[in-house]
Formats: sequence, structure tokens, C-alpha cells
Amino acid sequence: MSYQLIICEKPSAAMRIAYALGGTHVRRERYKGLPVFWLEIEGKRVAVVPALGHLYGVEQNSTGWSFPIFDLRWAPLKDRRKRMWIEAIAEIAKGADSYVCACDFDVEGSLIGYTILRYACGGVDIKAKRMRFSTLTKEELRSAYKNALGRLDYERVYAGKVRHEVDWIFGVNTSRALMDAMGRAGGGFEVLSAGRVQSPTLYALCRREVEINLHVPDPFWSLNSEVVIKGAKYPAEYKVKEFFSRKEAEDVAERCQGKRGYVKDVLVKRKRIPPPPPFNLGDLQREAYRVFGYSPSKTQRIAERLYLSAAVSYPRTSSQKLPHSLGLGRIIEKLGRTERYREAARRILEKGIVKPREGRSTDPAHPAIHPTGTLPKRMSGEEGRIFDLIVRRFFATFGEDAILEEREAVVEVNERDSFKVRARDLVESGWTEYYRPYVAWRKTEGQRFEVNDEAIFVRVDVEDKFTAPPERYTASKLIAYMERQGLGTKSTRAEIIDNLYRRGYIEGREIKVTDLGFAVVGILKRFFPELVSVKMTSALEGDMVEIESGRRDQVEVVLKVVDTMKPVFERIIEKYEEIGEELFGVMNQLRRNELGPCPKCRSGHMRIVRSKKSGKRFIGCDNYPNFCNFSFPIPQRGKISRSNADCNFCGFPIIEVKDGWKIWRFCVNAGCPSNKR
Amino acid sequence: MQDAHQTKDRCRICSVPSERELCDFHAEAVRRIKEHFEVWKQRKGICWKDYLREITRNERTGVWVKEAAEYLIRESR
Repeated sequence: MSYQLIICEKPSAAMRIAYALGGTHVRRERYKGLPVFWLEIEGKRVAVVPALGHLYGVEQNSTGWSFPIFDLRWAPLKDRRKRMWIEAIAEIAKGADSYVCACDFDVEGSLIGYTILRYACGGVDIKAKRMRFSTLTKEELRSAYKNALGRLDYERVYAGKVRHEVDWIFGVNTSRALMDAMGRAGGGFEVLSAGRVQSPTLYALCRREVEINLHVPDPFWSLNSEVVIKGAKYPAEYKVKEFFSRKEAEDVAERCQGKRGYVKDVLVKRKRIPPPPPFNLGDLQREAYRVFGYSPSKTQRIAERLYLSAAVSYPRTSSQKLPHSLGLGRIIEKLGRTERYREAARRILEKGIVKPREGRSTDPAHPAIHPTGTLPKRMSGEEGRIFDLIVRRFFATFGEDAILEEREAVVEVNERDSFKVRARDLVESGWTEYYRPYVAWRKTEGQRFEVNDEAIFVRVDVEDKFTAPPERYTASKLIAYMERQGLGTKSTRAEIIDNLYRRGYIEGREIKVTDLGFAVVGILKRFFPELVSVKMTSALEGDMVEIESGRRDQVEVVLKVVDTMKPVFERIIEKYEEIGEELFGVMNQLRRNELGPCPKCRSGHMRIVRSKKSGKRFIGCDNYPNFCNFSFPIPQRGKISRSNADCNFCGFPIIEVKDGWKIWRFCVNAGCPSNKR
Repeated sequence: MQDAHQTKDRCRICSVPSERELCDFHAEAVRRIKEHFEVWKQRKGICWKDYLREITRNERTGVWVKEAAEYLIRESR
């Protein structure tokens, strides 16, 4: 008897979809390791099978190492388990007479379903239907099955296909060029990577790093003042914010310290602060970073787990819209059944009209991230935090405007000096009540200053200040930058940042570009300027959006990329030697610097040197013989590296020598007591 | 393993290959140090040597500027 085959993206999603469509009559079995869920829908047998994300990827069509290469094909990924699952799906597909793609409704999900139906199931993609859903709740899945699209969403499939193919062309060719050039220059093999989105992102980080590293602070002075009005202390700001002479600042401080002034004028402004829009992925990543310090990729992973447990809607969305068709009232009512959200839900429902505030961003496939009303039975601490943030933000969108009162008083003293004193009060808490504890504004009942109130200057200090360098990017600020520049997609940005960390190109929570990152960008900028250009990458993203909306042909875009990149890669072949030598020099430099800065002169780097006279090796400074004569004897065998620790006695670096299984650690200060012991 | 202490065609501060005495970044750092000296002289009334010492100690000074300032101090000895 034939049956229908439903392809899902992940095992957990397959299980949810199977139980949503089949109720309790689901039979679970394993076929060659692949979980298969058997059920019946209106008398028809159905097999629900999962993938493991992408089962197919792009690879070189021909054999051997060549450059540049544009000849590609879609083939099973090398993972053994994935290959076994492809075989199992192919066999199950043989007995099927109809097919449904139930992968996540986005570019990647559509592509996963398409590649399986096309390559594993023998080209049945043309017969397949497409389920479209934003949450994994029973009701939505049943409705998505009933109202499935009569064909695959090919526009999304082609956009995904082009993205993978273009990324492969860029990534493989540039990485091959770098590694091959390095190998030919005698530098051995190094894994160096460059990518279509990764390289312009790294370049932006480098430009910021250059500005920070080249910052020369300029001195200026300011007054740090405090006044007491009606018994309450307020910071006061002098009319001149920056003094360029300390003497001038001191004169003002001397004139005002301890003096009594009066409030000359009070300006009161009331600001209406509308509720924040519901979360899209970028907003959620930024807010989770601000509130919990979670990296964007971590937030994305947690949100995806919550989606798979049907607690929240699909997180990879750029939408800030919550259409009424989602059944918002019902979601609030379901959330209100728990003690935690009862009060907030009651207050929103009491208002009668349930209309959220929405933002401008839209997404053709999904609404904004919102709770489904289903509470998972178990949640980890991290999942609980993100879930609570999503729920409270969702509630906040139904709140009234908050009203902030900002009061600014002009305080005069000595008839010539004037200061501004500011105070801020939340007059109407509005939506902030629903969004606590993630918003800090509170109602205060403090006294208000009025004209002619006495103001006593209890502190007027002169502060030495210096101009600050530009701020470093954090992962969350970098995501915002990438969004602004059109670099990557909502789903790939966090992964690209993670990749930069993994490759050792950047480090730290406040992102710092490493020497390796600088070296790679330097070479890319010189030899592949197109690769670090934001313009080209964001234009390509625009092309892909056009493919997704059916306004552009996929083949045309891939050919355009090939036409643009072919001359670039051919030009590189002519400069192979030059690139190789530069890379070799830079990598050597980096290897030398692995031992760290010279503890004596601080500007040089320790390196392993072999004496011309004795032929023995020792650690010396690369500033020798110019201005440093630091040296330290080391064992003649073993691999030398720098340990992460510094000496407890003298603070000099600790060097590690590994010879087989033996490891020695010692301080590089010859006179250090730790070496005498 | 490298030949001992070869400094020719390298930046005198960071030793990266460079056709000039300093690499592009350190040359730019030196240029900026010289440019900002006027501001410091006007606002703090300090001499060139004290200025260099001050900026090497300042935590807001960029790494390459610090290295360039240390280099200028050594050069002036």
C-alpha cells in the first residue's frame, strides 16, 4: 500500500509534526538509523521522516586541485550518519506516492527539503507540496497540512541555492589562492579562510581597530559638580562642558565651591515613550546581550530550542509584525493560566481591544517572535530566561505609552556662572509595567525643583580628562552593523561572527582583531579588494532578495558572480609569488610573536635564535642588536611555546618546553628565584 | 628557525617586512603623535619628551601610538 512522505528539517520537529497530525496513533520505528513516524490521516498512511539540517552541499564537480574553480555540483555531505539517512529516505521514498516538504519555512528549510526530494527521492520535488507554518503548535501544523501549497516554494529554494553556490565560489577560490600561494612560497600548509560575508565584516572590525590603535588622546578638563536643591542631591553640568585649560576650570571651581545659587528657570518636558515593537531575531539578540550578556549565536540557539518545543514562534524572522490572525487574545489567555503571567495577562485582556504595537520591519514568511501560549514542561535556566524575555516583550507591545517627565533647571551662582541640573521621572509607567525587570525606569515621588529654589553647590571638582578612542564592537553591535550594511542574513550573521572567533581572527567580548586577523585582511585588501568590499556583498544580498521574491533569475545571478570574480582570480595567479611571500613573512612574524613581547625592552618580541658560534638555540629579543640584549638559555630539544601564566615571583613570562610526554615550565628571567629552586 | 636578529627591510618597531624604516601603521602613529603635540603643548605647556612619556602612560593611547612613542623616546636618547 502506498503512502505519503513528509520530510522535516530535524528529528525533534519531525516528532512534533507527527504527533500534531496523527494524534496518539503514531508508530515510531527506526529504519537504518533513521527515525520514521507512521500515522494515518483520513485513512491515508503517512510516513514522517527527519533530516539532520542540510544533507546535501556544494562540492567540486571535477577531481584534483585547481584554481580558479567554478565547476560545482550538489552532492551528499561527507558525514557518515547523514549519508546513511539519505539512503534510508531514498528507500522509503520508493514506496511513496505523494510528498510534502515540512521543513522550516525559510530559505534554508526550503532548500533542505528541495535537495532531499530532488536528489535523494529521484526528482520528486516537482510533485511535492509545501507546508507553511511559523510555530510548531498542533493547531497551526494541522492547518498548514490542510492548506499546504500545491508546489514547493521554488523562489526561496533558488535564493538558498544561489547563496550556497556563490559562497562556495568565493570561499573555496580565495582560501585555495591563499593556501596555495603560501605553500609555493615554502610556508607549508596553513588553514586560512576568507568568505563573501566574513571578509567585509573582518575588514570593518580592522578599520575600527586601526582607529583605536592609532588614537592619540588629547587632554581637556571638565567640572564634576553636585548641587542640593530642597534637600535632594543632583549632578550639575556647567555651561562649558570642556575646558582646554586647567586654570580656567580651576577658576570656575574656586568661584562656585560651597556657594549658594538659585534656580533661575525650569523647563519641563513630557515625553511619550511608545511600547517597543515585538522581537525579530536581531532585536532579540541585541536585547539578550544587553540583559543577560548572551552572545547572538547563543541566543539564536536557545530561541531555536524554544521553537522546537513549540513554546515560541519561528525565531529566524526579520518581522516586527503581530497579525491578528495569530489569535493574540487566545495566546495571552493561555499564558495567563500560569501564576507568573496571570496579572499581566488579566490587565491586557481587561482592556478589551487586543492590539499590539508593531515595528516597520516585515518578513514575507513569518510574523515577529512571539510566545505560542504553550508552556514547555521543562526548560533550562537559559531557555527560561529567553522565554521570559520574549513573553514580557510580547506583553509590553500591548501596553500604553509610558510618559517620562524630564526637568531641566538652570541654576545661577555668582551672577556669572550657570549650571544645568536635570532630573527624570516616570509619570505614567504604561508598558514598562509589563516589561519589568528588563526596563529600569521607575516612578519616583521625589520633590520637584521650582524657580527661585535655593541651590547649594556641595561639590565642584576639576576632572582631568582625555579624548576617548572609538568604542570597540561587541557581538551585538556587530550584528547591528551587519544589518545596516546588508551583510549576511538574519540567520547567518551570528554564525559568521562565531567563525571569526573560531579562526582566531578576533578575540574578546569587546572585539579585538588579532594579528592573524590583521594579516589576513591586509592581504585580502591588497590582492582581493573586491572581497572586502561591503558594496559588492550587499548588492549580492539584494540580488538574492530579488530571487526570493521571484523578480530575478538564479542562473543570471550566479553567472554575474562568475563574470565578476573570474578576472579577479586570474589576476591573482599572476601575483601568486608576491602573495605567497607576503603571507609567508606575516605567518613567520606571527609564529615568532607566539613567545610574546620581550620582558626587558617591551617593544620587541621574544624569539628562538640559534647562535652562529655554538649552533645552540636560545631565546633572544628581535630588537637585538639595536636596543635590547635580552637572552635566555633553553633546552636544546623540545617544542617551545609560551604558557598563559606569568611568573608568580617576578611577573616575567613563563615558557613551556614539550619533549615527548615531558613538559617543563620555567620563567624567562635568569635571575628569578623560581629558576634557582 | 630564523637567522639571528635580521632587522634590514623590517619595521624598526614591530619587525614586519617594510621597505621604509617604519611600517605604514607605525609611520602613521608617529605622524599623529607629532600632529597632536601642538594640542598638548598649548593645553598642558609640556615639552616633547614629557609629552611622549605622558602618552605612553595614558590608558586611552592606542597600542601602535604607545609603541611609536616608546620608539621615539629610545631614538632620542
